[in-house]
Amino acid sequence: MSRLSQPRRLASPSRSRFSLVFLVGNLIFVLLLGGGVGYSLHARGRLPDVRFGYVDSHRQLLESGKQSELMPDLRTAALINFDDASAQLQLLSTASLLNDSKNIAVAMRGLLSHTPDDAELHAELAAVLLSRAALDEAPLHSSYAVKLIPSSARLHSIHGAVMLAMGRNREAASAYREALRLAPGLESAKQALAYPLRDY
Amino acid sequence: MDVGAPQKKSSDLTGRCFVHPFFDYLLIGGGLSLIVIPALYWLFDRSTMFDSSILPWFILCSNSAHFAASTVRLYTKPGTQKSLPFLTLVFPAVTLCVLTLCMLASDWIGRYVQLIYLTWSPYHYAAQAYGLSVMYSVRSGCNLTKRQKRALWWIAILPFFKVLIISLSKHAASWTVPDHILWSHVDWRIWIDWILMILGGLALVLPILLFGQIWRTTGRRMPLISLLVILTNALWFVIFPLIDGFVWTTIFHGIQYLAIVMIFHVRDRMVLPSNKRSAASHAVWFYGTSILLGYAMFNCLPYGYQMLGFGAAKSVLLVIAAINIHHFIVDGYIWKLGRGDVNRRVVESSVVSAGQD
Repeated sequence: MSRLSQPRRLASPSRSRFSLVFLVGNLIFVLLLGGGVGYSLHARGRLPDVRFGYVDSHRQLLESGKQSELMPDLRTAALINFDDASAQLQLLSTASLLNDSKNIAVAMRGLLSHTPDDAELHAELAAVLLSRAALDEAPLHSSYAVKLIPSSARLHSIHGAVMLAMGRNREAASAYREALRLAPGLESAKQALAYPLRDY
Repeated sequence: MDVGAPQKKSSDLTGRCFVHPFFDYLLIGGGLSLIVIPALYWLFDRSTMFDSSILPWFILCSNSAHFAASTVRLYTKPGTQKSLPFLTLVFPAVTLCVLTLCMLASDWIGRYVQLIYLTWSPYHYAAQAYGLSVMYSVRSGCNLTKRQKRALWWIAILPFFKVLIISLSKHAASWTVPDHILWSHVDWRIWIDWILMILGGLALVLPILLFGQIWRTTGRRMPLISLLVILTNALWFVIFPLIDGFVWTTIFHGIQYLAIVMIFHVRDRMVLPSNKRSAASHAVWFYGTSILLGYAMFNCLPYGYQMLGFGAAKSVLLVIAAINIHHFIVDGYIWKLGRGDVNRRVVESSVVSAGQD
């Protein structure tokens, strides 16, 4: 006979302790439910919707221009709801509006787990990390972007900028030359090779 | 709803259903999903389908209600308070406490809670499919050997492994694997894609092979519903992109769960000497209570945490995760079929004995 199917007789003190915990737990649950209904009525003027979620309340804050107030919750949503690309997209969009490079990077990292072969995203993330002086991570993404689309002058140019920031001038020059080969009119590459990479 | 009156013998392939083959195959077997999903994809655009105003009601009536149903079953199943005192009396409070602690540390623990719930979900769905498959086999007089049950188990949870590998390689890897390996020039993701394709294929083919093997070697047939329930669970996760798979699985798994749990509840109530109500009345009570509790848990409880000052996102996401995990744990206990358990009486009622063809 399985242990679980045997009726277990609790001693009276244990049973009364368990019953007390049950009562307290239920009381807290009911208070939270009642408080939640009251909060919804107060904040939104109606009972909690059948459509549950946080997107609607975020949309309301965004539409009322309270992006900076919303940022911590957007970041939390993107971190917890890692499997939902729309949460990361919303964080990216709002962080871009506020020029918040830290959260732009968080959002981009989250989006890369959904589309790991998005070369443009890798390059954009590298550029953001460069602006934040995150030089340990930036070259991983810029070189990965170039590996994914070796025919893109822009990606080579970004990789060149990252190498230059790291002081890896030879690699920077090589990347800029490749960018110029692919797009002879690319100004960023021309300027970098004219100065400061004129000796490489 | 037939509640235990002597039943006519069914054919081997149809199996011994609880209500009627039409009901059992569509709702419990998952056959309804094979009709509804293609119809919806054919008639509507995918984005329209997910933005539809009807979807939240559908989710409340199947998904949310099914989560609540395990709690309603826990407190209405005869004998659970005596046999499971911790689960019935203490565990809800423990869940609330842990949930509140997770709210306080959501920025670093939130995603792990989400990962636990997202990886446990397909395991839970697969385990339910396995349990139902075995149950219908037993009811239909096809007693599987231990080896066959073990094979059926491993086949049933193949979709879980597929989802687990996707979750770990897509998301958890970025939390743990060093960036220089994650974004190295070694194309390890292509190997993951191959493994996923193989797992998906096996999940669809192996149930059919096992069905045939049991028929060939034992001379007895598993009922088709046992095969159907395993196949539909696999289909939801193999055919569709992961997010779609989760949506369809939760909806139809919810319908499946509600159907079977109400059958058990009604049969328990109808055999009580003090019972004066009809089967339909018991079913309506159970389902209505489940919907109300589901609405309370999913739709109202997050506002309770927002009232306490927590953000909307963490309130909703962590409450959903907590309800899911609570449900998985409770389900692990309330469906035991040990001797003396009331569930066993429901399963074994009017079972066809082997050899009575």
